[in-house]
Amino acid sequence: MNIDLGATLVALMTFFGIAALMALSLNLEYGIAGVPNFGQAVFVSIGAYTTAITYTRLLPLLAGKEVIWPCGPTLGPALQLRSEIMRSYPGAGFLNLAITLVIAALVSGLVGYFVSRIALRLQQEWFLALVLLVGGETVRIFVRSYEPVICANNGVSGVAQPFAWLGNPQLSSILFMLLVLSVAALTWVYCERLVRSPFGRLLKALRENAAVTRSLGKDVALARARVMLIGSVIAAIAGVFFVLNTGYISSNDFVVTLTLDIWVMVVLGGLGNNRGALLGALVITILDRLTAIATIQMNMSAIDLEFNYVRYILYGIILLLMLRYRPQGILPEPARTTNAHDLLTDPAPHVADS
Amino acid sequence: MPPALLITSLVHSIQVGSLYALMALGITLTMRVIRLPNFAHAEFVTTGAFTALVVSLFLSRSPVVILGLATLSGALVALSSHLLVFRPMSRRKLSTYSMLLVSFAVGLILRYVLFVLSDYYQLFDKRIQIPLQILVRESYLVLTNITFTIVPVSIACVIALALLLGRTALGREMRALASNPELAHILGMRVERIRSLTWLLTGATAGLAGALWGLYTFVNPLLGWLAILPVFAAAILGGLSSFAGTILGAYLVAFCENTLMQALNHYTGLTFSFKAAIPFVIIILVLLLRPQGLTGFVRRSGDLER
Amino acid sequence: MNLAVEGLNAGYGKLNVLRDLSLSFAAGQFTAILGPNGSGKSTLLRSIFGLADVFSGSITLDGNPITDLNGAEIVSLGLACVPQRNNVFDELNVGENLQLATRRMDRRETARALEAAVELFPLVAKRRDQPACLLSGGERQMLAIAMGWLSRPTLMLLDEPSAGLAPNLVNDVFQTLLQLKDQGMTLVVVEQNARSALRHCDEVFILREGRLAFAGSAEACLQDEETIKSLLGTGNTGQTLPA
Repeated sequence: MNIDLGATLVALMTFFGIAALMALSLNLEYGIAGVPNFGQAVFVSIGAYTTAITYTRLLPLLAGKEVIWPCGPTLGPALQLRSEIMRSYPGAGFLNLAITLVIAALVSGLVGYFVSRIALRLQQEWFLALVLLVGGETVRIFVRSYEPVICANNGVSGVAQPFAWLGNPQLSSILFMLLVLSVAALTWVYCERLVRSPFGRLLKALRENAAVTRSLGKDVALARARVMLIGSVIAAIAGVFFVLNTGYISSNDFVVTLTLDIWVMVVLGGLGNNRGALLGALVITILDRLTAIATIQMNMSAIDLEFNYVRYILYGIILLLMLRYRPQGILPEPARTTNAHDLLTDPAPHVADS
Repeated sequence: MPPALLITSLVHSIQVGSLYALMALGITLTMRVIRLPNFAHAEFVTTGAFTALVVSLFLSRSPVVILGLATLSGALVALSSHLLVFRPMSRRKLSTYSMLLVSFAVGLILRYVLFVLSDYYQLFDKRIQIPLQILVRESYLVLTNITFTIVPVSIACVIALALLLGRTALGREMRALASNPELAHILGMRVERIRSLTWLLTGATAGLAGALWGLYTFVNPLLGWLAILPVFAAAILGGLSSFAGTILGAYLVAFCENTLMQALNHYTGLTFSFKAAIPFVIIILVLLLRPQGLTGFVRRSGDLER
Repeated sequence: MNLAVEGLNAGYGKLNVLRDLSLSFAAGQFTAILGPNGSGKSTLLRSIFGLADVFSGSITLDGNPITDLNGAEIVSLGLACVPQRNNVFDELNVGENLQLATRRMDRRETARALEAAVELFPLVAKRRDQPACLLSGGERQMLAIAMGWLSRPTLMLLDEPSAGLAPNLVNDVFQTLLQLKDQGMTLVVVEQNARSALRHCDEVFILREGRLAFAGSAEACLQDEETIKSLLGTGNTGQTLPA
């Protein structure tokens, strides 16, 4: 029972680290800069698909083996080769992970950058949200239909996490958890520093009033593109860890509901507050577990309820309650941003609503 | 392309296009009058489909009763979403993105409640019990009573809606509210009542569209959600403002999904799994290249905006 | 009918524009509210119609508070408002705009009212089938006033009816307003164009920084050129810009 609890905790914390990365990314983009990324799933999925490609094409080469086509009739041997390399060539495994992270970050960052530059042509404010949402679905349909990426509908399995060669599942999952948590912690520190930097202040000014910021001679488009670049890099790293954690890459994991999960975390925790994003990620991770346990309990007492259904109903309710009663989130953004309004009007005594 | 394939795909285009038009009109109406890009519209559609299924299983097999009750259920769900969620939320003056999230949340709750219910009552993989009759059977084409229900009903409904908006006092007030809500308030129009009626109307069309869509395909809790993005594509192609544009957009999207896809498959070997991406590509291209949609070409008195 | 404002603090969100403002509009009079940009003239009108946030104080019609009423209720009490910009429904044609204003009358009443409107506002009548967005500035203003008038108010508030109009059109607008006054309507006009307003109105309120700076008859105001100069910020009360 003790071991079980430990394993649950490790799984929980690993997932928290991954969720935290996703939430930090969205908080940076929407919470700080006001760019409504309704296509978060696609940037996470770029990390996942990159992992699929490097672990099937690059890894054998790094280990000095012949590449076996990962789909179709050779699916079995390719899978076997992967697991064997992950078990006995730690060097190749780590190098491959490092390369995967770099490629995923580069691709995702560039996509984020260019999507944001193109999106400038959009007329209404919510069009960007729609383009990102629909763009994500388009990528997913493409990957699902085009075999070479992740073997279409089959997906790619047997992507072991980088410490699998230790031969001790407990130890390797603890090490993996530590790796994920430390990356998340570093990202958090980075985000905090970014928010406090002049660039962070520019982003907040832009969120409050793009026109005024532009009139102050700031390049609004470039600032938005830069923040999308940074956010997309973080999301892609989360995607790499996400599939390393589950060991399986399927396009079905990166649907609109994943994007919504991340939005729920950020709205719950507090838009514009990095600590809020972390809290939101933690609460949602725990809630996920609890609903799973509750569902099992209910099923045992003969109440038949699918876990995912309950979960999404719950998420919907959380979103509505938060937006209705506490739109600033559990941990609101700390200091009120200076906006042009405050600078232009004299400090009139504020009269409370009657 | 063989004529049989061409004709069949064209019939599909017309059938699906009529349904898209019906759904896209609801989206456009909410967009203009309520100023909300309403993603929960998908679940109003699904509700209509499930009502049709349940009515046909347990109550009556008369198409009039089935479609009527589906329409009613869509209207009721839409109105209660408005009264319980959207109206209190809009009083908080949330940003467009937050309202977008609210509509997502409402949709999510409805969708998974329908999942739970259909799981519990074992409604998966059941068909709406309207007996199938084959009315035309040629070597190249088979037409059933389903086609002859879907197409005329949705077209009649679209025309009725256009007349309501263009010719009646209520339609005039709805267009006025869409055009300038503040002035509507100042002139003493009963803005809340018009909003509620708009929700009833969009919900009713969504419910009807859902029942018809359920006849065309089959009923499941993802029915509306899977249709909503093509429907948004249609509305955006129409410029999100004009009725004529929206209707044209709906048929164009359906044409691309069916006839164009069939042609691409025939001539380039593109597999049908890419079919779902076609409306998305349309959305992205239109928003980037011609965000005003088709309305530059089409003008009508029933338009909600220039 | 007596519209009165007492100790009003109002504005938008956290921005407090009107500060402890008290004034009342006498029945049957033509009152002008003057003042420089940002003095709160439009905010006063908007708070009467529930379009600005009222923080404290009261707005009463014959002693009954109207702060919590919605637009329909305010209009049914006999108030009408013609806002400054966006005062017609651009996407609807002129006829439809007018019909919207007569929406609470029966068929016969509507016909009679529209006939009367044609007589009062001949400019508008000629363009019934055109979309309102194609009207010229003067026609637009006339249509907006006609729409306000069609709800048969006893008191009509107008926000800068002369804004952006050529001088001869400004005169037309004021002549029309005087006709309405002769019908017994109480008029309240917010104006930038102080000279035109002072020439036609009876009473004057001048606002500055959300407070009442002058209240009195138009004659008293005109004689006190010094006050006007300092209050309106220009020596030439006729124009915002020196000619």
